[in-house]
Amino acid sequence: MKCNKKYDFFAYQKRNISPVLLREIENHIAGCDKCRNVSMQVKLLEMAINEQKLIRPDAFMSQRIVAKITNRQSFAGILRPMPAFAIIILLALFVGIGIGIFATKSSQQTIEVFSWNDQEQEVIEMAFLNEN
Amino acid sequence: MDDFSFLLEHIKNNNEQAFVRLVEAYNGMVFQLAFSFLKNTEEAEDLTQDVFLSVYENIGQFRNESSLKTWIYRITVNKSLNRQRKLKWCRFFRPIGSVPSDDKNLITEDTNPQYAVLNKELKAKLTNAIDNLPERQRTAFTLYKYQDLGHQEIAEIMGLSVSAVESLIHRAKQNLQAALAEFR
Ligand SMILES: [Zn+2]
Repeated sequence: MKCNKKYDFFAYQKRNISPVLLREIENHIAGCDKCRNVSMQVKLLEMAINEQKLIRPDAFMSQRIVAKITNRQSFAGILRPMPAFAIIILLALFVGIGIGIFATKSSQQTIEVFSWNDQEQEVIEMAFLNEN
Repeated sequence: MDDFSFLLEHIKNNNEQAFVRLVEAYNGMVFQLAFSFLKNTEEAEDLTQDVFLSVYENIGQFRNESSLKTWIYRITVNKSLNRQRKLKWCRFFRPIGSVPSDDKNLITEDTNPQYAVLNKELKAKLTNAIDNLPERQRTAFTLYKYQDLGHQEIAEIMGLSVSAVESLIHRAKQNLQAALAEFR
């Protein structure tokens, strides 16, 4: 049989209802499998909730939290001047590279170094050997 | 629990000791609420830290429109819901065979005899019914059942009227009973 009763079994389990309604529900669940099961499952759910409510953080959690937050804040304090510092470093780097490129270009004038091999001549050691 | 609003001015003036007192006063409350949403101790601790970091960084913007406790509750609820959404996606894409985060936590629970009344599968199955509720019903029901808060306090945290909270809790209970009717 399909039952459409909508009792508040949470209130029933806590006996947080009028005596009249309490008696009515008790009489009903005596003959209704569905509501008896729901009432039982609600009781189990209340037990599960009560067990989970017992879970506490360990005694050192607050210390860990404060340490992490204050460390983070002091780290953030160190990092705060970082953007300006990074810009100065980058500028210095660009200026350095610029000066380097300019200096290399100006020193690349026509300084030619001749060597024996450039002139397609024998290496010097061979020239000595061939003298005999 | 007392409201530690008197610490507010000291914290705003960067008094670290006042902040330590605030963390000590509320870390259990934040952790428990985070755990009731996330069902995992590591995630709950991580979220607790995140909540207090938020408090530390945004305390200057706190305007006394609510109590400090209500404000911390609100931050915890918002962050827990965000984390829960993220975890649902992670679970969806988790590689086959990897250990679910809930299971890791339930093993820790089992090592403590005080949690051993219900077995972990049954407990997970039952409380999973809460996770499947629509977000606002889940939030109202969690604050009501896990934190034992009154309708007025829940209304302040959620920014709703008391009657809206009553309606959310009523619908949450009805939906839970409908889901539990399928259990044997
Ligand atoms: Zn029935």
